[in-house]
Amino acid sequence: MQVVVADASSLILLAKCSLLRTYAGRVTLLVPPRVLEEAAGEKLREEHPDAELIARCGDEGVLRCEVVISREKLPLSLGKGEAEAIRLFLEKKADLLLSDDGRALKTCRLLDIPFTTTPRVIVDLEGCGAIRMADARRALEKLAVVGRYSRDVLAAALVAIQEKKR
Amino acid sequence: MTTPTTIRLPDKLLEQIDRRARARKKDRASMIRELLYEGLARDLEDEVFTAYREGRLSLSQAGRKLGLDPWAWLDLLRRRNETLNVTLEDWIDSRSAL
Repeated sequence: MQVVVADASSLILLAKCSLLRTYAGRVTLLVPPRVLEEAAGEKLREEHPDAELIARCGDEGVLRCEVVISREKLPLSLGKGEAEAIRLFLEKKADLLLSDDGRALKTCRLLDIPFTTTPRVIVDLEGCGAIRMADARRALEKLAVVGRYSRDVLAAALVAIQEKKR
Repeated sequence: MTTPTTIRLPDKLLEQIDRRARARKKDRASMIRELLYEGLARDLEDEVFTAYREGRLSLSQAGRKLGLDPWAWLDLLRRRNETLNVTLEDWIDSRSAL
């Protein structure tokens, strides 16, 4: 199983698409405490049902919360959660960083860190048969509306799903 | 604490402000203060969005500047009809874990 470190943006989007548990069942999903706080802090759990789902995944060990020791300086300034996720990736020598933030991904490029995004996760889940094509389409549509993904990225993800079927 | 200040305004603008103040049953000074607060908030929001769009701020940095958590930031993106700052290039470079 690949080890993937996620930041708050991706936890939220996966939860909104109802795919957090499905994905976490197929990879080892690590998060630093700060990310869990940003995505599912106490106040957020009262306001967003999906934040409650993220918190439960943390409580049940579906998401593994790991403390970050490193204080390594990163090439770009980031929010605390995004920075901790990258430091945790480096510390654990993980396989991929999962983020839906352009600046965090730019930092990954500078550090030569392999990364993934939520649309890619949806394509992967469909590709390995974890979800049906109709569910993948629905999730991508949700990413456009509530996840605010641009149409060109989602169109590319749809094409990728269809190409795999050929 | 408030500090008195003097500013010259065009007559037409002052007329518009007075009309709005009357409609909202406010005095001129309160109306001007309210409009300044609204304008400043909008200006800060626009500045943060530009920085986010250009990749100078991350999602959580942008949210923090406006006092928003990531959930509220996503809601604000929707209300403003803006998109995430993840590009097609990011999609192309993203890798598979499964």
